[in-house]
Amino acid sequence: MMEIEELYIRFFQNRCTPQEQKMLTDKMESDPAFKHEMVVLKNLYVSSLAKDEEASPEELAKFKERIGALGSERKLESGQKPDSRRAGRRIDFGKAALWSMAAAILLFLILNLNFNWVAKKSPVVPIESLASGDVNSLYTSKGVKGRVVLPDSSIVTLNSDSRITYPARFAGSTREVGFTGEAYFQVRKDSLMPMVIHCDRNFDIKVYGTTFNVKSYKDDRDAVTTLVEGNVKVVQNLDGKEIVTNIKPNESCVISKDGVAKVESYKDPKEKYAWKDGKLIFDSTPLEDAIVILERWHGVDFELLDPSKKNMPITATFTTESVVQIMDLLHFSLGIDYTISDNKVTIK
Amino acid sequence: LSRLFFVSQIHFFLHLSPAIPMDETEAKIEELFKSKYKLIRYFAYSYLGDMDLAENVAQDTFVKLWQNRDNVYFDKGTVNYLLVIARNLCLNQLRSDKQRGNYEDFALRKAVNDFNIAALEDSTSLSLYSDEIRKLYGEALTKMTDKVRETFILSREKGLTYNEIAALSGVTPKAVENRMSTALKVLREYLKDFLPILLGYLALWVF
Repeated sequence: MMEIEELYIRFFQNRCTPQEQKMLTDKMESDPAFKHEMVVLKNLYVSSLAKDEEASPEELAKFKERIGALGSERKLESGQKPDSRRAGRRIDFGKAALWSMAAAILLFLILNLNFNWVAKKSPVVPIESLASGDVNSLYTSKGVKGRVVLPDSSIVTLNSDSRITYPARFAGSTREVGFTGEAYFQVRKDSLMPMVIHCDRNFDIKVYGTTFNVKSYKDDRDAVTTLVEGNVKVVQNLDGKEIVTNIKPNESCVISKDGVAKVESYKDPKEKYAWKDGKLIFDSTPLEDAIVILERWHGVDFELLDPSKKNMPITATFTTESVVQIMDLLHFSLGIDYTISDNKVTIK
Repeated sequence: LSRLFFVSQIHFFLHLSPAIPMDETEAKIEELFKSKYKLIRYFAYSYLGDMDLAENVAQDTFVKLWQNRDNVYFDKGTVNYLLVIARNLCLNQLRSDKQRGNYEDFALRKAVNDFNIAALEDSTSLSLYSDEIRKLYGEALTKMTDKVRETFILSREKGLTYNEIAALSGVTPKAVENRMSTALKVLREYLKDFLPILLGYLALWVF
C-alpha cells in the first residue's frame, strides 16, 4: 500500500497547483496500479465526507418548477400508457386531469394557430448568428401567455405578444436565442457555454445561468431587463461600439428609445414580473402606457380620444378581472368614460 | 364582446392547467429531494469540480427520478438509484467536456478529467454509500486520535474549508491536510476488506 500524502488530499479537492496536478497525472499514466489506488482513495475520501443536509426552499422550488414545466409537456405527448397505477390515479383525479388536458390541447392549438397565422403574415426572420439547422420560433399572441423549455432545459415564461427563436439544439460556444416581447427567463447554468439573448431593441443579454425578466417590445418607450438572481451583462451595439452594462439582483437596466442605458434599483422588484403569476400591477403608470399593456394582456384594441388624459396615473392590481370590470373600475376611480364595441375600447 | 368573453375563458383555462394532482409518489419524491439533494450535489461536485455543473446534475437526477416514477420502487435503495443516475450524468458531462476542448491547458484538464472518469467508473464510487459502510465510517472515527477526529468532523459536518479549520484549531492549513490524510489512512485500514486496493498491483503483475 502506498503512503497517503497531503498532496493527494489537495488533488482530490481540486486544490493542487498545475505543477502538482501534472506530476500526479503523469505518474498515474505511467503506473496503472498507482492510478487505481488513487481512484479508490478518491472514492473513499469523497464518500467518507458525504452527509445528509436538507435542501433549501429555493432548490426545491426550482425542482418543482422543472417538473411542472415537464408535466404539461408530457400530457401533450402521452395518451396511451395503460398502467394500472396511472389508471388508479386517473379515476381519483379524472376531472382535474380532463380539465388540464383540455386546457393543454387548447393552449397548444392557440399557440399553433397563432404561430401559423403570424408565420404567413410576416415570415420569421432567422437571426443571422444562429447556428444553421432547425430553428424553432414560438409566438404568443395578445391575450395569451406561454411557457417553453429550451433544449438546454432553461425555462422561458412568455408574456403576451412575444416571440422567441432558438435552435433545435444548442451547438458551438454560446447558446443563441432571439427574442422580442416580454419573458421571464430561468436560464440553466453552464459556465462554459453562455446564453446570448438577442433582443430586437438592438441589445444582447449575456448570461451563464440566472433568472431575470426582460421587457423589450418594439413600440414601448423603454426596454427593461430586471435581474432576479445571478448576474447578467446587457450588451448594446451602438455604431459598431460595444457598451456593456452589468446589473446585480434587484436592479434593472432601462434602455430608452434613443439607446441610452441606465441602471435602476428596487427594494422589491417582484412587480416587474408579477405578470407571470397572473398579476397586472400598475404603479402610477400613465394611462397611455397602461393601455398598451392592457391591449396585450387582453387582446383588445384601445383608442384614447382625449390626449389630455394621456398622463393620468393609474395605480391598481388586477388578476382575473375582465376588460369590462377593469374599465368599470377606471370609470369609478378616475372618472373616465368609455364604450366597448367590436373588440375595441374607446376612452373618451 | 364575444371575443372578450373568449379571452377570459382562456385565462380561466390557463389558471386551471398547472393544478397537477399531488399523490403519494410525488410526496415521496419531494421528501427524497429535501433529504438527498445536497448529498447528490456534493457527489457531483466532488467529481466535476464546478458548482454550477453539479447543481445541474443534481436537479437533472431528480427530474429523471420523477420521469421514471412509475417504474421505481421507493425504498431504502432509492438513494442508490439516485447515485447511479448522478454518476451517469457526471460521466456524460466529463466525456462531453473532453470533446469540447475549450480548456486553457487542454492536456492537463484532460488528464484530470480522465482521472475523474476512472474514479466514477470504479465500483467504489457507489458501493461506499451502503448502510454497512456508513456504519463502519462511524466506528472508524473511534480509531482516530482526538485531533485527527476533530479535524475530520469539522470538515464533514460543518463543511469548513481547510483554511477555516486551520484558523479554528490554531494550526497551519498544511497541518489540516496532514490530519485529513491520516484520517483517510485510518479509514482505508478499517475498510480494507471492502476495498479492492491490492487489485491494482495484482493486475499489473498479471499483465
